[in-house]
Amino acid sequence: MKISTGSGDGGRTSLFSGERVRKDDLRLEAQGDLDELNAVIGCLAASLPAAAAALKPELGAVQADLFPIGAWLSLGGPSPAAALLPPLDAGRTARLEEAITRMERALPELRSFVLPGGGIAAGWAHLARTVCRRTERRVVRLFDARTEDPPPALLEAVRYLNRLSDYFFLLARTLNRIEGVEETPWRKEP
Amino acid sequence: MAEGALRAGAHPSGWQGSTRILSRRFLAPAVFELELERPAEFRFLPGQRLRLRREGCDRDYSIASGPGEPGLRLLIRLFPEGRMSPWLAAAAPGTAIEGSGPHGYFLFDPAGGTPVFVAAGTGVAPFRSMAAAGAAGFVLFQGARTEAELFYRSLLEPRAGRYLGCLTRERPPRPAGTRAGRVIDALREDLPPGSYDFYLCGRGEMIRDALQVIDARFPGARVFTEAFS
Repeated sequence: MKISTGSGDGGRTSLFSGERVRKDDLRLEAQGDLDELNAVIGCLAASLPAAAAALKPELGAVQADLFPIGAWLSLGGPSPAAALLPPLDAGRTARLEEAITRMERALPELRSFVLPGGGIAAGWAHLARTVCRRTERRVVRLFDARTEDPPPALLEAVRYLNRLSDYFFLLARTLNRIEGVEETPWRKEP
Repeated sequence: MAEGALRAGAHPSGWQGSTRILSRRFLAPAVFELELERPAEFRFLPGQRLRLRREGCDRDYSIASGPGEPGLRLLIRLFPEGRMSPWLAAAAPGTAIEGSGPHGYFLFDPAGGTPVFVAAGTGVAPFRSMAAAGAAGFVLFQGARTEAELFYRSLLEPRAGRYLGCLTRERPPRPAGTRAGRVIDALREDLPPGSYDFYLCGRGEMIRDALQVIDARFPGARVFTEAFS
């Protein structure tokens, strides 16, 4: 696969629908956030402590999920290419929900806000959470920009991203617990 | 063939397996058409690609045949130093080869403006498939070095609303239906203002140059691209 074609040197690119858009188009901004999220998850996976290595395949599955979401974001308007894209069904979201439930059951109840951080891996998980929330906000803004109803796949993408940020919050807490790092509760007065 | 064959009516299938070379025909000294056996479960849309694999080397080729044709035709340029094309150029009929597909999203959308197909060299392959599936009335700018390398012209020109061969090395007198220069020159000089959907297939450099012209002359146009590496 050739990476550099130079075809975007003029600051524009094509969506799946053939529409030529500026590279600061909202759809590309959303794709960029998604790409950033995926890169942060890569850092998170690389920083997992040995005791949490079992979580690596789960993170890999999330990274793989983000690709079809990106494809749907780049669809633009109606396009025959939509028939070729992998469906975004509720199964991916359900898988996240199972992981959320699993982690919630294993963690002590949270009685106050905690400061983002702790171990290195937990820090990456918190960063993934915040980038995920930004991605979600951007995708929601896409709905406002559309003249037609959003396709079901995009609605499912928002559900998925909403669960995913919860997943990363719980993952950060889980990683701190695995590494024996105390969570730092937020206090009004330092 | 009905227009439905151009759209998602015949939904593509995911296929991976082995096929066989049926025949090979050289259309120019360094370009040949290869026909492969079409696996029963292989369904594709015009504009999509077949991926061939041999000894760890993957190469994608746009399918030139229509979805209704029995075999899979590929239009292949021979690169003597390449890892795939010399082998394909020499393999005997009946030879098995691994493949997968279909791949790609370079699909014809009849719902838009006047289609303008821009093909350079073997980049004409997906347009032959689209025409075989019923696409008609399009503008076709076909680039080649000489008239003899305007592959599939006899099939495409009658279906085109307008056809122009763009020849870079043909000596005068200029053959009918052609101009001197690249397809980029035709985009710049031979297309009146209008509402168009552009379909570009060829080497990355051609795509890049064509996009510059299209962005400048037709800023609202839709553009679909398929770049060869």
